[in-house]
Amino acid sequence: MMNTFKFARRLLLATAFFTITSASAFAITNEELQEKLSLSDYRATFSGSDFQATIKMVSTDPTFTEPKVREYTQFRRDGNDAMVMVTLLPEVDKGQGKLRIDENMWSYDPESRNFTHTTLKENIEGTDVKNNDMKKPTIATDYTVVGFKEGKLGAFDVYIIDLKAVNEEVPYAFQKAYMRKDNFVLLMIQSYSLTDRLLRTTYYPTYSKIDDKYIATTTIYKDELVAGKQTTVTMFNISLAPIPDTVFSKAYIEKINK
Amino acid sequence: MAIVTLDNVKKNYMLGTTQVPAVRGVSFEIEKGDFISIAGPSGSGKSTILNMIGCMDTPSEGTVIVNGKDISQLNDYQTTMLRHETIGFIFQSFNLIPVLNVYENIEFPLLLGKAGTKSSEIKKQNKEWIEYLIAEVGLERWIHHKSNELSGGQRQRVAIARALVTKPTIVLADEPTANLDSKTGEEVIELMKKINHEMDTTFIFSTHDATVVGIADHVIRLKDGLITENIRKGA
Amino acid sequence: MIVRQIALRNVLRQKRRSLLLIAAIAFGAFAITLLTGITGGIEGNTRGNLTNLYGGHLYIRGVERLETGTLIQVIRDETPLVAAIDEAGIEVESVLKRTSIRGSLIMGSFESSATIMGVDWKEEALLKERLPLVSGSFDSGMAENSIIIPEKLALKLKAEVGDEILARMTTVTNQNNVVNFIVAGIAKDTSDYADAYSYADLDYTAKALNLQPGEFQSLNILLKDADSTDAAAAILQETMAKTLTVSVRPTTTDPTTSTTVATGGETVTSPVPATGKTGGMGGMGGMGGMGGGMSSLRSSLGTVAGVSGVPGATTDAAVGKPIYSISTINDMMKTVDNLLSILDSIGKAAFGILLVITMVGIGNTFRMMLLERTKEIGTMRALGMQRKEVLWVFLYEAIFLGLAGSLAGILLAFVIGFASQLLPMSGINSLFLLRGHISFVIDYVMVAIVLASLIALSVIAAFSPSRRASLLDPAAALRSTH
Repeated sequence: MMNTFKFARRLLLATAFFTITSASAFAITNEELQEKLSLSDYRATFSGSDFQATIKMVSTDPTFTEPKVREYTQFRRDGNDAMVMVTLLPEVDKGQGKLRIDENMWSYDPESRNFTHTTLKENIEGTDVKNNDMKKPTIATDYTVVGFKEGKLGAFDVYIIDLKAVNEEVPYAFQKAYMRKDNFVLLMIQSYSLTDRLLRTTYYPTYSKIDDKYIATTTIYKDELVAGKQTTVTMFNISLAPIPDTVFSKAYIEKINK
Repeated sequence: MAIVTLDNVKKNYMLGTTQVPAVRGVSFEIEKGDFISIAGPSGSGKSTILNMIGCMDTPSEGTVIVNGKDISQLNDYQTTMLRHETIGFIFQSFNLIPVLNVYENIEFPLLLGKAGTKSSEIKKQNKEWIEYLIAEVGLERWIHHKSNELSGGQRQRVAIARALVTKPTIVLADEPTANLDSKTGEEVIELMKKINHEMDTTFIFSTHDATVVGIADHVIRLKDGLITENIRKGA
Repeated sequence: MIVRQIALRNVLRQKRRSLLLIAAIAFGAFAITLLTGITGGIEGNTRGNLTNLYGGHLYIRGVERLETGTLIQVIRDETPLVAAIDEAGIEVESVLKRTSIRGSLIMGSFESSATIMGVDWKEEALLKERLPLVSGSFDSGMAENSIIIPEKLALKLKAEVGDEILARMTTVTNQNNVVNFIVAGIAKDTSDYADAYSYADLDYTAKALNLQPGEFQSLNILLKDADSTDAAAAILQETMAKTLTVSVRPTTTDPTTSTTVATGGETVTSPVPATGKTGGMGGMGGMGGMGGGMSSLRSSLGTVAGVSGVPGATTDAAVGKPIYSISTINDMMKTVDNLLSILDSIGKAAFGILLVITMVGIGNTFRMMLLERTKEIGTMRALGMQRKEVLWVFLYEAIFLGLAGSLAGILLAFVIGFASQLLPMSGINSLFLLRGHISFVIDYVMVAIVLASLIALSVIAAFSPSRRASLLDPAAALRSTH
């Protein structure tokens, strides 16, 4: 009897909970989703601390006989919007470095000992990852929510959010973001061209939580124009410990090559 | 009339810092048409005298007059002209120009100076004249040969023809038979003599060959830079 | 006459020695003639290739500032430009509107990078002529999304006429974009420089770049007289500046730092990025060496093609107000010319060193000849040869050696040069080639200079011993044992 009562109470509570959550879900607006996107950006931005990780990129392509592996050490200081990436693999490119400060990006070739200016919109050599993907996310400032619907992605209930670029200089004109209803974590983003053709799908299957930060430890970038072309990016050795200021300079990249 | 006149000619050479007298006061005259031998041992001054008559050298003292001109008064260009117009040379070692054949060697003096301006008529005459000379020295068969394909006697015949081609008044021959055997030497002298008669060319040659001296009709003997004898035969 | 004859015979007399000298002279003549012939060919080919590729000698590009501050390359209205061309009185063969996309073409799982030129097919008769097709045609069934692709690319993509292919590119504002094309023709692989490009409809490419129909990126002018390029550019510049904002063409004296913008009376000076993607014409001046030259060449070529987005223009541009810049084939050629002039200088320095060595050789040989021929000189002098004639015997010998050597070298260079035209060249930038082959262009002035200088130098080298020969005392010379 006691058990039955307990069960009934639990059922009642559960029903109430679901009712509340679903009621709130139905009540969500474009503006609120825009805020959730800001939250998502905030969770992946390390403005209070530095960020360091080893990044591994495995690319497949119908023209490759076997996947190509690239590995980098990444240093990020989102507070200054600065980043340094040093190539570990493949062996031939070892020591190549990239330095980004705001919108300016340089890549260093140890062979010619030259820095060349590159743009954030270019792909990292031989991958489907753009330089832009390696910085703090700015989806909430780059895109406006123009609509949404609810759906399921695998086992998860999600909001499927239609995004439109705020101007013509954002890498993709349109995107669809798949956001978990329960914790507002992004699971997938589909990127569309100006001509409204699906160009790329980005999956975030695993996250790591440190304090209030969510780090996508695995990201899959799938080229939707060329079948079989994709890059899987994994992050490990993550550290939020302070990085010396000198790291974020051309001199540092030159020095590690000496 | 004398074609060559030497008047108290002295010639000194510098040997280091000392003056060596080669000719010590020589006077004589050579008439046109003479066949004259200047004889004497080596060092007697005969080559020096020949050089002066040939306008290749000037006296230290005295005068040398060739064809009416005092050679001491002429510059290099004028003496070269005088040589070219008046004198033919025959050398002891023939001195043919090695890159030219028999015909060209003989023709060579005719082509110097203002050769390019000569008319075709003159060129034709020259050709006939050269061919005549070649026949005269008996080298028709060798006309296109280079000097290194000829014997000593043949070379000297070429040299004789070359000396005559400009129709000079004087032919100077410096030991013309020294490098030839006696028979060939005689033939060469005979040839010179024949031409002397036919063309009235004055032949002056230096020699110490008694046979050659014997053929000459005017002999001047030298010793130590002085004349010891000046004989004109049959005059 | 006899002097020249003897000189000639003397040359032939010591055959081995003469051949050695002739060979030394010939080598110098050969090297410099071949080098100038090939650099001349590279110059001509590059000029021709670029003229063909861009369909002209003068290129007007427009730059506009967006609200966001970004500069984009666009010409929205050609009317004032055409009016200026008319007013300037330039004699033009054609004026072509062009866009340029650097991106990649995709078919199935095959992707290949490609540069697509947007062209107005109605106006591009010359281009059609220069692009023989192995399949498809220009006229039948040309739709707005038709594309002509090069044979090599077609093979790579396994694409045939009628196939739909995707093109991935970024818009003028660098936004990712993709459009589809239908292969209308496959251009024959003639190993021509322009072969590497694909060609599509002007308006369709404009759309792909996120421009409006009728908008384009550069106006390329083919002049009637290619030699008048610089003059025409100057007149056009002046005429356009009366009514339009035109950035002043960089001069050779100060090509890297800044560019002045004349705005119908007012003049503004502003910096131009000298290197990198947005290098513009300024990028061409910053040439440090060979390597730098090539990369700046690439960036300057990219700029005219319009692929790198923003050409060198002022950062002071007002929003919505276009700034035009005129560049010419000669501007583009500067980088190539600089490279070639370095090559030329190295060649000439080597030629100079070779000449000095050869001159020393000639001088020594003539001194030896003087000793060998002393007696001969005496003989000739005795026979009536004047000093001057003796001098000329020797000098003519030097002239003949110089003439024979330089002629032999030049002829050999011609033979090798023309023979090398027959070989297909791989591994050399096809920009420098004519349909895959190097060109050997005879620079007659250079040949004359080589000939004259080699003869003159032979004479100079031989002069002192020759003069000594002429001054020999004939009597003393005759006594010589030689």
